[in-house]
Amino acid sequence: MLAPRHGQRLILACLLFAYWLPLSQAQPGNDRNQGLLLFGEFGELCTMCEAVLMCEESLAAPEYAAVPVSGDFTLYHVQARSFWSQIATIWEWFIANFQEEPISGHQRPVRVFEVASAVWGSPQAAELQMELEPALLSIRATGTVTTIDRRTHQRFLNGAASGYCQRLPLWDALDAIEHREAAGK
Amino acid sequence: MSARQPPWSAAWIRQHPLRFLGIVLHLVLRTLFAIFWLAAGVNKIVTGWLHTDLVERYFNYRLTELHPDSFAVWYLETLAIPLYLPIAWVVTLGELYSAVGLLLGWTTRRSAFVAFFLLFNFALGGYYDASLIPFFLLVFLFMAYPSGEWLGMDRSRKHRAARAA
Repeated sequence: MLAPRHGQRLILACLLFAYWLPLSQAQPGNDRNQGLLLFGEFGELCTMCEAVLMCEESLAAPEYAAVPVSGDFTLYHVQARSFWSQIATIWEWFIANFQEEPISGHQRPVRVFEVASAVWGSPQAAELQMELEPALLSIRATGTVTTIDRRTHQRFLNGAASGYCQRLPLWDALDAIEHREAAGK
Repeated sequence: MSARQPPWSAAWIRQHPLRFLGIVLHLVLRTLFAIFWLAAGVNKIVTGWLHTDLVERYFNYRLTELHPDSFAVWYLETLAIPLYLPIAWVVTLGELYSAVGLLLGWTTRRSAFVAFFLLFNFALGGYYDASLIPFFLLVFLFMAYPSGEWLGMDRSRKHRAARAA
């Protein structure tokens, strides 16, 4: 059996090795990406996390505290990554140990709600492509390509500027969506 | 010959080709798992887990992503955040111990159990998704079979123990 002091030496050697190993420059929350829409202090929106974006025809990024009760706007309910996309994060985490830049992009499901004068349309299922370089969110749904600039929060519909977006407080926004869906049934 | 101690001889391999393939696959998976955990443990040291408030900030940030009524929020607020520094040490040293143990086949099953313990606590703390499933399956596999006796330091440990007995 391995003598205890041999085990301790082995652990000590591993720790020293680890301190000197020039393996990783990875820092949590790459500074250059801080402030991007849906990018947090510690990186991209987590695999199981959801988010709600609201976009409207405005001249600057809106700053609502909750889902507006009136007006015309679009809600994007960004959902958790799919099962296989979550499995793929094993590779992303592994690579993150060795490189400074996070993995650039991934897809996740999104539901799009068009709201006109407080009347909610049926949700459309689509795929959201999240990219860091260039910092864009892209959604393709029923012939429309929606692109949101993650730095300026500006939205483009089929390439034409179409207002600005904000991230809404999650749990209130989800409650509002659930309430509206229940009311619509 | 026992499956627990393949002699790695051509004759044994010819006699047990499937068993041999299974053992090789098991050892490959063990090595990959160990490299992953070694990288994760080293990365935690390099990014300052052991001597900064990074982990506390990490846990506090996670609170904003979890449903306020979830068990993970209670776990983080009651246990993980108040004890963030000891937890950072346990996780980092645990990952390094598991990685070294599984790489070298040294206290292999105990190393796998430590990995299981860490994974279980990650899940309790709200750091769960489908990517944990393969990890759990692998640690169960490593705990179930004495792979350190197939290839690793456990083999010589066992021989020494047998001689001493």
